[in-house]
Amino acid sequence: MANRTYDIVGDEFKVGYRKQDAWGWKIALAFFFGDVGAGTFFVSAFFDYMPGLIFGWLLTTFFKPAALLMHLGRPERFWRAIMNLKSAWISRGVLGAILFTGFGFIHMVNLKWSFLNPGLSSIVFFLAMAGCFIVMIYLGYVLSHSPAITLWSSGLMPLISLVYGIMGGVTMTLLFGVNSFLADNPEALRFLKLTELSLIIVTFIMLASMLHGAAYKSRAGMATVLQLIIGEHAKWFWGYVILIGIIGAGLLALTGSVSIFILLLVAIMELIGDIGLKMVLFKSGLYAPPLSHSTV
Amino acid sequence: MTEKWGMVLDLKRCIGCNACTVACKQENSVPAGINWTETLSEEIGTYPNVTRVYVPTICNHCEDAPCARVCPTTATFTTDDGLVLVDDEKCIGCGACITACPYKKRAKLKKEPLEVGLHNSGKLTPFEEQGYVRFTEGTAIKCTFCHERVAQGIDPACTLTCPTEARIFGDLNDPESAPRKLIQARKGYQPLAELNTNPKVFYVD
Repeated sequence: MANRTYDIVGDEFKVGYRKQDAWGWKIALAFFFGDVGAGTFFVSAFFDYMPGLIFGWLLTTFFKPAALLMHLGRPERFWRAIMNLKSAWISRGVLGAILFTGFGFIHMVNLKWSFLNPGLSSIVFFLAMAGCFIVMIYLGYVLSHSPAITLWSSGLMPLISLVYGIMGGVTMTLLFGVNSFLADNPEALRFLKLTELSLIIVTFIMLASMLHGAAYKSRAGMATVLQLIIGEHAKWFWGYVILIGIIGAGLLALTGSVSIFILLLVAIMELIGDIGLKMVLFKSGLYAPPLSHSTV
Repeated sequence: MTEKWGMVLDLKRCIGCNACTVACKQENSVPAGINWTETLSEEIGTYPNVTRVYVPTICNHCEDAPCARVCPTTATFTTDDGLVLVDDEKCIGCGACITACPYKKRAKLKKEPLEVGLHNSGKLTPFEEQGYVRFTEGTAIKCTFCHERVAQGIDPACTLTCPTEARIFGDLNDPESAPRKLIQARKGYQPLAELNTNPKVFYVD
């Protein structure tokens, strides 16, 4: 059976690659809000930039759960999602989100009114950032725990998730802060611009590695990659993820312009790339045929 | 020692009649659009040397079940006798188990099939009405190895129905059981063994 070739099949009773259809746009949107929100909070926190903190916190605390609740089959039982910290990354992500929501809020209030002593405020800051970090990275671990979907079960997934989160955070912080705190801090502006460009390059390398790894890991992986580069999802992958999200955003970032129009364009393009990647990851997941050792 | 229920699927005996599929749907009232077990077909070779192989599939009740590992609510659990089941009171319908199952043998139960019925008429038959009581809309469902039957010493419906005895069910802990003997005699192998999920369903060629 190892040398046989297969087609992508639907629900018909045929052996072949089967599409992942349990996760779609709602969960993609949830993780998109989570990544961008947590990323913006994470980056803004290093500059004590309140509008960025509030934006990131709101996106993660309200928009992400709203999309997740739309996805759940029994949304009224959502609280149960924290019950398996021992082995489920969704539970760990929920714990991260709780830490982030709670301590993130306390951190913002403390930043405004300074009601905590320095020791306590450091602990609050650390817990908020830890939660924020978990929210950014856990989608990658959730995906990498699907052993049959070659494209997902990669060690690169958590890193890709994290890099997209931080990249979104840098972009949003630049956009919001360019006419406020960054106007008085050229060092920070230069640092963020350089970070943004570096992250776009790193993302491109990681996406290329992801495809390369999947293609040579298994036949199902190769079938998935072919879908992405020349098949059904090529338009999404090349158009939204690579052309708009990487090349377009990268070239504009390369100009070094700090015009609000350019920064807004970079942000929009980068966010399109981010949501495009999440959609394409979910849409293109393929399961391998059930038997790999048969000689019949 | 407690039992460890498992199954052997004989590819040389299976004729692809899908009687197992029908028996399962009848026994478990599985709603439209979902099959807990099904027999897939595959054409091998090029004309004129072509043959067709049938591959019965079912939940493999894995020892190291990825579906149980990723379940955030612990709704998916393994019984003492090795069956992987779903507690529909705990399931939130997140679909993590469905994406994690390498064999795609789980499904999320939507509202529509429970309302329109198997005949798509919008009215449930008495059979469907009594059968659908066991399901909770929005939760994950899967093969149970007919655990109520097994508890009474009866084989799963798919096994008992198979006209060619291509499905052999039994205790994998018992060296004298039919599946254990068959696995040893004909070098039984597990589906996608390379994923290390250690299925309790074996195939023989």
